[in-house]
Amino acid sequence: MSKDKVIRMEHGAGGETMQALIREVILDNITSRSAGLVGLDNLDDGATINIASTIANNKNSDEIVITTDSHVIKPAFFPNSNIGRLAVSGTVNDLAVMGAAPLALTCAIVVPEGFELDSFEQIIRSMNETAEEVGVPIITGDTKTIERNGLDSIIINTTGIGIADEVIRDCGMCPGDRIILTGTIGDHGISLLAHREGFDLTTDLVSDVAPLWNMIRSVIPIRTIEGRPAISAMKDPTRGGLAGALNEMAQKSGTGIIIEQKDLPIKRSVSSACEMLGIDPLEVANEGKAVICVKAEHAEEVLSIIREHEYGKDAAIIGEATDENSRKVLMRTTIGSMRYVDTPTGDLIPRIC
Amino acid sequence: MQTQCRKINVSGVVQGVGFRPFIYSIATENGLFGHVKNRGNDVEIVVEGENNDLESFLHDLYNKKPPLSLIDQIKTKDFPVSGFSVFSILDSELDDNTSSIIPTDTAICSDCLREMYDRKDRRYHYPFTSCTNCGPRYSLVNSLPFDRKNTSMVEFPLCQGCGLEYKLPSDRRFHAQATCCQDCGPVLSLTNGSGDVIASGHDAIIRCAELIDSGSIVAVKGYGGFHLVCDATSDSAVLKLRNSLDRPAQPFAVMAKDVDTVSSFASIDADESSLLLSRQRPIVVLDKSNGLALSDHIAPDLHNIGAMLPYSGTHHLLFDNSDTDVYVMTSANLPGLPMMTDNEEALSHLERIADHYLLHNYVIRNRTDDTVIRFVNGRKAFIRRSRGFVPERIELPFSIEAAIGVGPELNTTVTLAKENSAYISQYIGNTRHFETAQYHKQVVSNLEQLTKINPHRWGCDLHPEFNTTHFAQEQGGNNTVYVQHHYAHIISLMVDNLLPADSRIIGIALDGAGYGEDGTIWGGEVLEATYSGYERIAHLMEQPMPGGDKAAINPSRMLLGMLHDVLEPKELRGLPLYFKHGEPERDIVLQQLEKGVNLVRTSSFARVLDSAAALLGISQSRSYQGEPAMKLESVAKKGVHNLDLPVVCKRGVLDTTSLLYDLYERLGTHDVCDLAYSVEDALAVGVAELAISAAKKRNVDTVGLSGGVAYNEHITGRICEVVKDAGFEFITHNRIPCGDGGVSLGQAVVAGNSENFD
Ligand SMILES: [Fe+3]
Ligand SMILES: [Mg+2]
Ligand SMILES: [Zn+2]
Ligand SMILES: [Zn+2]
Repeated sequence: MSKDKVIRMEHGAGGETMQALIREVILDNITSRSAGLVGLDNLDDGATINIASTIANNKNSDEIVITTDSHVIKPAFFPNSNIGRLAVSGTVNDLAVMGAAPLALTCAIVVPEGFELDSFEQIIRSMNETAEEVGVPIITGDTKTIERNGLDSIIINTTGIGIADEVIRDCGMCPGDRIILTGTIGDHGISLLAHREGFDLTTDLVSDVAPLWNMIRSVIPIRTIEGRPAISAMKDPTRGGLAGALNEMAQKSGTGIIIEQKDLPIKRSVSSACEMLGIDPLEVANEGKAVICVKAEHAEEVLSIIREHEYGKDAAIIGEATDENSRKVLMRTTIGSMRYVDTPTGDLIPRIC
Repeated sequence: MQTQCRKINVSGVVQGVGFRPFIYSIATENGLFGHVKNRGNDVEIVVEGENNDLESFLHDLYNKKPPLSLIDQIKTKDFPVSGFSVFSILDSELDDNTSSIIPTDTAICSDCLREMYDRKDRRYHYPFTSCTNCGPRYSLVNSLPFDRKNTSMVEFPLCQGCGLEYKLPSDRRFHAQATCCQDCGPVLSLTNGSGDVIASGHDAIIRCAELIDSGSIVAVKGYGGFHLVCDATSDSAVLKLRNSLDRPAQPFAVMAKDVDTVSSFASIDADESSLLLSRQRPIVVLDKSNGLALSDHIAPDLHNIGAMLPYSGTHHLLFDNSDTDVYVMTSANLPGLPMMTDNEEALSHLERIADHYLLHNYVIRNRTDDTVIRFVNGRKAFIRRSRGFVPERIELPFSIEAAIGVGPELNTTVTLAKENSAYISQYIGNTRHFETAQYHKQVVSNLEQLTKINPHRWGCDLHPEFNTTHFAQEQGGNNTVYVQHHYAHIISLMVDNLLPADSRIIGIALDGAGYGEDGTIWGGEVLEATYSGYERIAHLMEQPMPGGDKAAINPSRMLLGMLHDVLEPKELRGLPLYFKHGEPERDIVLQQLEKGVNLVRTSSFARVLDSAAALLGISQSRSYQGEPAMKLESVAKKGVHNLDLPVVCKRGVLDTTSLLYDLYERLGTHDVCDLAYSVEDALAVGVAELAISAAKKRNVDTVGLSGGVAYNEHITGRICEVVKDAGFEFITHNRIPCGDGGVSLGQAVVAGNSENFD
């Protein structure tokens, strides 16, 4: 099964192929990979810089969290939003799911020659609106242009710096923890696909892209009786969808996960579109959702706080972490049997005889 | 004359089948002394006496062996004389180095039946009557050797009467591990839906028969699991069962009182009749006839029906007390999950399905579904190989290393193999479901324990997402061998026909789906195969599957894909097809095809049959595996060969688009039955021609057919005819399933035969 040694689309699809590229080509070629609790090796949503050890004589235990993401999306404008809001949200959310308040963003733009200036400005204005929503300044940036043949769309890289009292990891889940999903799955991926390919889905489905810090910040301080954070792990289910996020969390935590299909928030339009297209909604990207693992006794409390927020009104407890079936994700289906939820491969591989 | 001594080791099915008392009696008859004992699968005999008597003993050993025994090998060697003065039967002794063979479950024998019907016999009306020649075996076994203490019967200590029989070498029940009677054995009880016992013993039978006659659905616990049973002549009972199971069309098997009853609704030839009556009592798929009024809802729109005869005492007694001569008897399971075997489990999960429960109180150790066999082209085609056949040894044509094949995903089995023996497990089911995947793991460990095979190599499918593949990777690590699905089919075919190690054949593998080496989905393949490798020489045209598996579930999607390039959008929209979401879905599929969104390519043969069924309006959605193709076969059966659709093959690729286009062109001008016939015929001829040209080019003289499509009588018969007419040898299956139940064997043989390891 040897394939050509070139970058293929799967290398960026969030699945096994991408994981292999990161491990074998990127990590192996970078020597210094950590400046605090969370470094490059952890492949978390971001990394941290320990202030105490980095800045002499600093007694503060806070960690600086840093994350970076390049955003490409076709088309740059999609229902309800555009790449500008996506670029800010993506980075703010990566900080947020690590429990970090966003302090500042940087922004580097690569834009092809011929790109309409009006559109460009609209993107910048969206970036600004989104950043203002969570009160984070954009403090530095860079702009490059490339010949129209070299690039066919705009690329925006944002780096975010945040600060966390106590960093929340994507590997901290323990058996018994409840898993909260902050809203409906698949809205972003399906609305984008429909828009891009011109599918007539006759729905008013729009992308869910949103910065989640305001929603998440209110649950981060919750502590258990022992004074430990009630939230044990968080992740944003972007590329690879919910299936990808849950598998990563299960593998990193060494626990199993079981979710209930009947409890999964999903819009009827998304599930019927997925059915018609033959797409698994669990594998579809989201840009305004978070998976929050929380100690069982605080699950209802966290859920009700999340639900008060506009972006969390459809939140639900979708399952829990288990002792059994370590590193695997299971789903109890609506017909009552259970199936494994696999890590998406980035390919569609039929299996029915 | 001089006294000599021989040590004789007999291997095969020699436990739990009355083998030691048999040895005792032939030794005594021939005036010999010594002893016999069980050691795993191996029975060891030491006999002393004069040469003539020893010779005559050996002659009897071969010629008079008990009916259920199967001798694989007899090793005889001289042994020092020790001057025995009696012949004795020694206790079992387990030798960890020998692989062991457990007898299969067997229908109640005529002697036991006679006792069960004899008013004066102490087993009168006792449904669990059995002896060394009959009764459950594999389904009862916990571990080896096959002694009562290692079976479910350990909970039922023998009463005095049974104990005497058990210890008396001349008795039919000498060391009959499952023997019992109403004083000491399991009991039947009939409960209502909430599990309250309303009758027990023979009363339970009488009441249960009445309930079935009056339209109830009863969950009946049998040898290897639960059946759901109802009156097969009652539309309302059958429909009630269909609705509560949410199985709108999947054919139900029936059990009929006797062969005469079967022949009142199906046509039976001599082979089929003897298979129905065989001690394995499989379900035999028979052509329907227009006799006795069975409900039309039993096997809707199919020309055939699966029928079996009573095999347990309970079955016989039920029919004796019932006005109904034919019952629906379908495995009691939730969709995709294994058949239920446990009383509590059944009571809680069948709540909305069964009205009553006929339970017994022994534990089922190994679940075994009913075996299903259809005669195709004069040979036995195992649709499911389970009760009565598992864990019978499959002889391999050569010796291999200890290996396992974990099977594919649907209809999976596992196979353990070592040296020149293989053991295929019972039917496991769809391992996509977690519960079935767990059961799969359990079968692997049970079978390892029972066969004493400790696999060094783990054969699995090439499909990267099968749970069985993940399982093999976890267990086998670097010793995992990935075996392409259709190659595994062809290897199982070669083994089935005992082709020697250096054989080379052209294998035709036709089925629904298997992951190919190139990442596309294969299923209509012509391979040049040896035991050490294969080359894909020809195949059906690759067709798009809009939405992947959705196109397997809904043949209309597949058909749009196949005709997309040759029909105008208006014509495509004009096809009378079915979509769950109606026209919007059809339009989405057309857009998917236009833009290439979420399409995968497949050379599947079954998907072409599905598409033809959709185009001809025969079946446009599938509610069970194989439905469109099975219904197409039933319609084609009514057709005549009055039309040859042109078959176009270019560079080893059969153009299925042009075939379906030709079919489309003839809609309305020909009878649907004739069209169904001609499309099956053209596909069969096309594939046969691809195989023949491959065989000529590669100078191979044998062509064989495997894969689930080989259950189709017309297609198999036609391929056979064309291949033989061209002067080639043609082989099909006979011992191993053609479908995915045989894939694990192919995987095990490839894995055990591979040498690319340290
Ligand atoms: Fe197959
Ligand atoms: Mg991220
Ligand atoms: Zn008997
Ligand atoms: Zn007794």
